[in-house]
Amino acid sequence: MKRDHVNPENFSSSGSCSSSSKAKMWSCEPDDAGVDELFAVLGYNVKSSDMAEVAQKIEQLEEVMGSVQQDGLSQLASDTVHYNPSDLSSWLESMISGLNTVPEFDSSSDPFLESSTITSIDNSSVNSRAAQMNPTASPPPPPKQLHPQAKKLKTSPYLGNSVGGLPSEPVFARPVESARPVVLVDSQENGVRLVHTLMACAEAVQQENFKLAEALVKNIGFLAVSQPGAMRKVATYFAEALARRIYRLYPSNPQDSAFTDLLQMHFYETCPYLKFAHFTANQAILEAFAGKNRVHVIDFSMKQGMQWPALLQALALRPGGPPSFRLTGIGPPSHDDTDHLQEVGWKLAQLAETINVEFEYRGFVANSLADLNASMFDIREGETVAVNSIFDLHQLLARPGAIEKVLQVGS
Amino acid sequence: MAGSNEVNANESKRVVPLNTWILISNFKLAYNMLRRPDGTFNRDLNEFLDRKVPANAIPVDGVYSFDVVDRATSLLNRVYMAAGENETQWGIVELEKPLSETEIVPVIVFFHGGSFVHSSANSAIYDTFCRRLVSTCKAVVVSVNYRRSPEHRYPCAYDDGWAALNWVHSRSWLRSGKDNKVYAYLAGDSSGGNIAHHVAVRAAEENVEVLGNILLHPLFGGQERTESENRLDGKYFVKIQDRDWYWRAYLPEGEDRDHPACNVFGPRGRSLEGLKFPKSLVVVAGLDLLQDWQLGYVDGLKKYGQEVKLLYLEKATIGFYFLPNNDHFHCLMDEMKNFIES
Repeated sequence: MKRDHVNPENFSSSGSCSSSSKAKMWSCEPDDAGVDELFAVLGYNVKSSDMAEVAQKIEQLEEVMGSVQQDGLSQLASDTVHYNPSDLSSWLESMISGLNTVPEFDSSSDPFLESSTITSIDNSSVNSRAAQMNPTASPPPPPKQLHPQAKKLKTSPYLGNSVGGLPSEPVFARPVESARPVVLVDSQENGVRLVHTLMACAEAVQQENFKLAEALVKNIGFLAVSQPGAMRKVATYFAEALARRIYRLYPSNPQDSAFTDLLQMHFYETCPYLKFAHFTANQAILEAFAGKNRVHVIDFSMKQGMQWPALLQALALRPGGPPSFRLTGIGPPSHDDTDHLQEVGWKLAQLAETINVEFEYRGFVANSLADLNASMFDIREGETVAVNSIFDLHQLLARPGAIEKVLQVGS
Repeated sequence: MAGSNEVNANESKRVVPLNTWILISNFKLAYNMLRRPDGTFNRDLNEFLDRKVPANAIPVDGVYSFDVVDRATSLLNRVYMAAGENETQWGIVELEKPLSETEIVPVIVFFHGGSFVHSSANSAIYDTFCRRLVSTCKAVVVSVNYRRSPEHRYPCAYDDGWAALNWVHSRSWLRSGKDNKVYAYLAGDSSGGNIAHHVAVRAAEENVEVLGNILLHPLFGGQERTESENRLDGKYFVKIQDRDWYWRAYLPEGEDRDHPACNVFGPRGRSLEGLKFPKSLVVVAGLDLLQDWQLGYVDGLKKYGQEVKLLYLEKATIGFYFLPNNDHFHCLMDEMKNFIES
C-alpha cells in the first residue's frame, strides 16, 4: 500500500529478493506522527517526519567540524553538556551550537564558555522548528536572558522549511559585565529568526501546545522591535494575534455601527483584499449555480451586502438567463433602531428589479454565528444553496466548539 | 576541505538508505569527537553516547537474552536464544539441559565491532543484530564483551575471545544434537572479525573445535597503503587516518601496522599451512576502503589450502547490516544461514 509512496532514491538497489520487499514495506511505512521504528530499535528517538532534517543537521555538523581543529573538537566534546543522545535531532543541534562557539573563544580564559554553550542550546532548542523540547533537558530560562545574552548567535538554519543556504555568519556579542545585556544589531538574521519564530509559534498554537507557544511569543516581541518599518508592524500584529489566541483574550463586540459602516465602506474601497475575497467567492458561487434555476445564498457576513450586486449582475448576464435568486443575510443586531439588514435587502431588491432577476430576501439577526441552526433558513426543495462567509469564522474562535457547530449547520 | 566534505556526503548518501546514512554518519561524527590526537580516548563520553539495552529474559520477536559473568575470567557474555513455544516458561532460563537432544543447534560466538575501541555486547546495534542472527540462523548467539583499547591493548581482546570460546565449549546447556556436543562457530564484524580469526587460529593450534568462521568486513591492515584505501579514503564514512588511530590504540606501543595482529598474512604473518582451520565466510563491502586487505586475507586462506567463501557486496558500505532496509542485509542473512546449515 505505501510502497509507491517511498522515494526511490532512498533505496540503494532495486531488489528482486522477495524476502526483501516485505522488509522494505515494513521499514517504509511512514508513521509521520511517530518515531521511526528502525531507529527506535537501535536506541534512537527520531521521528520519521524529522528524518530529512536530521540528515541535514548531520551534514551541517560535519561541515562545522571540518573547520575546527581536532584538539578543539575533543575539548568541545568534554565541555558540552550532552543532554539526551537518543534524541538525535537535539543532540546534533547542541553539538552544532557548541561548535560555533569554539573558534571565537580562547577556551582556557573564558568563564562564560560553559554558560554560553548552554545558552546557545536553549536558544536553538526553543527556536527549532520541530520544537519537541525534551522536558528534562532544557532549563527554563526567563525570556529576556535568552535573547541578548547569547554570546554567539548563530541562526541554526531551520530545516525542512525554506531557507536552505543561510549564510552562517556568527554574530558575536560579548557582554562586558555578566549583568549587562547587549542588544543584537544584525537585523538580517533577526528578520529570519522572527519569521521562523512566528511560524513556529503559530504551529504550536495549532497543536495546542500553549506552553511552547507562550515561550515563543515572548521571543517574537523582542525580535519584532529589532526590525524596521513594515516588517515590525506586521510582526507586531501577528504577535498580538497569537498572544490573544494563547491567552484567550478575545475582543468584545465592537463599536458604534454607523462608524463601523463608514469604516467598512472606506476599507472596501481602499483595500483590495476584501474585494478580491468577494470576487473569488462569487466566482465559486457562479460555478456552483451553473445550470440551476432556483438558487439560495445564505450570507454569514451580510454587513453592507457589498458582495451581491456583482453576483446579481453576473447571474443576470449568464447564458440561459438568471435563476430565481434568494438571499438570506445574517448580521449582528443593530445598535440603533434601524433595521439595518432590511435596508440592505431593499437596496439589493431594487437593483435586482432593474436587471430583471427574480429576487427574494430575508434578514436574520444573530449575536453570533454559533447561535444559528439549520431549521431557521427555510430551505426549500429544489433550490441550490450556497453558504457564504468572508472573514467571519475566525471570530468564532473565542467560543470553544463554535466553529464546529457552524460548519455543521452549514452542511 | 569543506567542499570535499560536501561531495563525500552526497556520494555516500546516494548508495545507502537515509536511515542507514544517518545512523552511520552519526557514529562517525561522534567518534571523531571522542578520539584525541594524543591517542587517548574519551571513554566516559563514549559510554554515555552509546545506546545500550539491557538483557531481556522475556522473548521479544521470539528471542530472549540474559547476561552471564564468568567468574574465572570476569568476562561478561550475553546469551541470545530462541524462545520455546511454552509461554509459561518465558522468563525462566533453564541452564541444566542441553539445547536439544535431537536437533543440532549451532552456537555462534559473536565478537562485536567498533575498531577494538567502541561498542559493547549490550550496545543496541549489536543486541539487535544478534537477535536477528538467532532468528535467521536458528542458533544460539553468545556475544562477548571483550576488553577494549586503548585501555586494554593487544592481546587482551584475543585472550578474552579465547576464554569465551572455551567457556562456551564447557557449558552443558549449550550442547545439542545426538552427539551431545557444542557446535561452535565464530563470527564478528570489523574488529570482531579480526578477533574471530585470531581465536580460530589458536583454537586450531590447541585442538578446540570451531566449525566455521564468519567475518563481516573484518579489520585487517598493514603499513602499505593499498589501492582501495587511497581510492575510497573519506568517501564512505571512513578515513584512513581514523583507521591508523585505532591501530595505534590497539597494537602494542611502538609497533607498526605490519604487526601480525593487524597484517595477518604480511611479512610477519603466521602460516596456516596444514592447520585444521575452520571454513570461513568472508563478507566484503565493496565500498569499504579496507577491502584490499580483506580480499588479500581471502587469498591468503586459499593459498594455505583453507576453505573460504567470499561474499563480495559491491555497493555495500560498512555497517550495512545494522538496518534491514537494504538488499545487502538480506543477502547476508541468507548466506550466513546457508553457511551454518551446510
